[in-house]
Amino acid sequence: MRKALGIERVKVGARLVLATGVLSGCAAMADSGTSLLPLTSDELAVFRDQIAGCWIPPHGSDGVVRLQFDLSRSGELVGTPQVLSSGKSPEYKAAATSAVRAVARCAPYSLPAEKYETWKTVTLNFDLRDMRGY
Amino acid sequence: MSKTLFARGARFAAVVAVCLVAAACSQTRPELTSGNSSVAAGSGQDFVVNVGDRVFFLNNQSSIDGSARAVLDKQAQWLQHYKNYSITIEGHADERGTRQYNIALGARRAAAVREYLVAKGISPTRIKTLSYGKERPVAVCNAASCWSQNRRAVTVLNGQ
Amino acid sequence: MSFVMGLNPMRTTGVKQLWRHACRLVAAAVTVAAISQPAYALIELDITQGNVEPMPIAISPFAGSGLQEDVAGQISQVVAADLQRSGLFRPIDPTAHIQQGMNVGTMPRFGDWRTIGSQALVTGSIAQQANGQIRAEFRLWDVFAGQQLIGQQFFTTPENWRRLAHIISDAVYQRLTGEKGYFDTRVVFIDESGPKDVRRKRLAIMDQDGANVRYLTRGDDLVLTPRFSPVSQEVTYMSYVGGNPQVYLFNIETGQREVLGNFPGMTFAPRFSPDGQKVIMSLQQGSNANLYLMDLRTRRTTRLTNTAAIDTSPSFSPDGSLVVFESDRGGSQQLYVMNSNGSGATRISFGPGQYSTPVWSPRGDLIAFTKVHQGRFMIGVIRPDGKGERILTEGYHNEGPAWSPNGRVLTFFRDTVGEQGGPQVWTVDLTGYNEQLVQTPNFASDPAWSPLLD
Repeated sequence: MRKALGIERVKVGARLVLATGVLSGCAAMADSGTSLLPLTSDELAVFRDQIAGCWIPPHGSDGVVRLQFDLSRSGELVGTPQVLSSGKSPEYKAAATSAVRAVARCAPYSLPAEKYETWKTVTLNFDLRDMRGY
Repeated sequence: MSKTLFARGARFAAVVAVCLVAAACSQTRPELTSGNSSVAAGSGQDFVVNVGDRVFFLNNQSSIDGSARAVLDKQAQWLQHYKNYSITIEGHADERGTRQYNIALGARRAAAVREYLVAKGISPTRIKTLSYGKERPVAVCNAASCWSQNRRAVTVLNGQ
Repeated sequence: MSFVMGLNPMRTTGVKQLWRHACRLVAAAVTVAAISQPAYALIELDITQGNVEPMPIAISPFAGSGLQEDVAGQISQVVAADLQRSGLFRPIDPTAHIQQGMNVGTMPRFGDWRTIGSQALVTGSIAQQANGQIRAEFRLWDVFAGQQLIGQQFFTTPENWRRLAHIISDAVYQRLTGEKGYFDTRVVFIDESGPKDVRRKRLAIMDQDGANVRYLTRGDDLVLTPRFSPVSQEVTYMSYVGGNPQVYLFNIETGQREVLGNFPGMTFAPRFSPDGQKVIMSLQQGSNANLYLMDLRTRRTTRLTNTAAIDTSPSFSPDGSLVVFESDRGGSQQLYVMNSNGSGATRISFGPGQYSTPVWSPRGDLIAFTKVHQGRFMIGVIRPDGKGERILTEGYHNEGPAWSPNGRVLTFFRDTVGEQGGPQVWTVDLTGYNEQLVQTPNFASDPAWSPLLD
């Protein structure tokens, strides 16, 4: 392995604060027993690092692959990831294959059990736009 | 060391010797027997041994310096005397450059020698130039001393 | 990265709006959850970084019936070698494979392949046909998704087995990387034999992996700087035939050779235009070298530069609109880009040292060059606007880069010191990490890549 690049913490922090605010406000409004506990920025970072470490971005690709998948309570992948974006080019096909493979390879995921309702369905955007194979 | 390398070394020494005595040479007519008297005057060997067939250049340069001028002055005198010869000036470069640029650099060196000889009265019609770039080194060691021997322009006689 | 409901509205919505919008979505999600499984993802992440490591791949030895057993094994070995040399794949040693004896019809036991760390699997079979041809079939499997990605079949003569292997490598490479491969290609180069001061140079051609070397000239004349036509089996190069150095055109299929143009001086450093219809080259005029363009159909020549300098090593941009070349017009060798009619030359290299032999990537995004600085010879790349210079390899002597047809790999030659030293052909990819020697029978220099074969 030559480069296992981590996450950009600034970006994580800024967006997470906003999202957390949204959720806490809503929890009260929803007035329901189902409380959605947000993942902390550290938990998200660990999750994202895990996936990034399993993903070998194809050299020739450029674009975004969006996919969604379900996880079991033990962090195992349930079924196969569903690709939400679409494309027909060789570049897109290689990118989509690599993203599905990364998600499958990485399981099981270690996420906090008490927050399972929050992470039982996950959407990922595999973004190759700023990535060239060099 | 191979025979050819030895011969080349001897020839190089002879060239240096000619350079050193050049200042003492006659200005009106080459002292055709002042060097090695065992070679026939007016022969190709005479030109190489007693006149000097090559001049050298600084790294990435094509200007004719003092010692080169001394050799070329003798070449011009000799060629004025033996008018039957036409010549090819072969320009060369050392190995420390790229192929394409060195081809052009060798050509530039040959052109500089040609210009000098023409200025000394040799008819342009007798002169052809050719560049070998870095493809024909005479010294093959990996040292600055070898590279400086390869940065050269050689005047080759084309028969009578 | 974001943490929002359903589809991500953050990029377009203001904070206040988002509040309301998000709350509605939560409410909806909770409601739906009570009825059925929710389809909303509560976590959405952008993955913008990956792991730049070679992909582990298993090439199961191809099955061959009867006479083709050896050929089948060799084909799978060549496929593995191709993928390995690319630096993007790490073939797993076949002795470590758990599922053995596969043919193209065998269903993979994906668990077995995952166990050995493989992410993709190639299987294949070679069979003899009644007409003397061979039938080759291969499949590419995604081990984690448990599905077939490619299944193809070819018919060819047994002698073609190496090309067949390269074609399979290209298919696997393209499916998994998204870009065209470069394995079914050839490289034209200068074969060098004999002592350094009387070296015999021959025009030669080989497969990109060094196999099938064939000589195109006998070595009577000095030959230099061959370049492949991007559209035909033709090579342009410089030859000293009859002591008169000129640019020639050589047809690989017919063996026919012709001098290009009737120039009043030495021509050198030729290169084809992207459409293969023109050749751009240098003409030596006294102390100066200028660039000329020759139309191969009309044989008309056009002068492009006119300076008291050495202008050489021209190379077209892939769309043919621009030309990069080297010139010492500013005092030392630097790279310049001009319009293909010769106007608007602009210097693009400004680092310390001399820049030479620029060559434009077939993708258009980069220009490769040789750089000489403090006695070191480097191969680097720079963007056409002069920004983003990167050195890929450096040492005593590296020279003359040429691009693979997919613009991912450079081939060049590396010379070694002293009387016994000589040049060898190498490749390096754009990361600069993956350097490979191409084995040749003798010393070899001036490699130039063919386009992908048809």
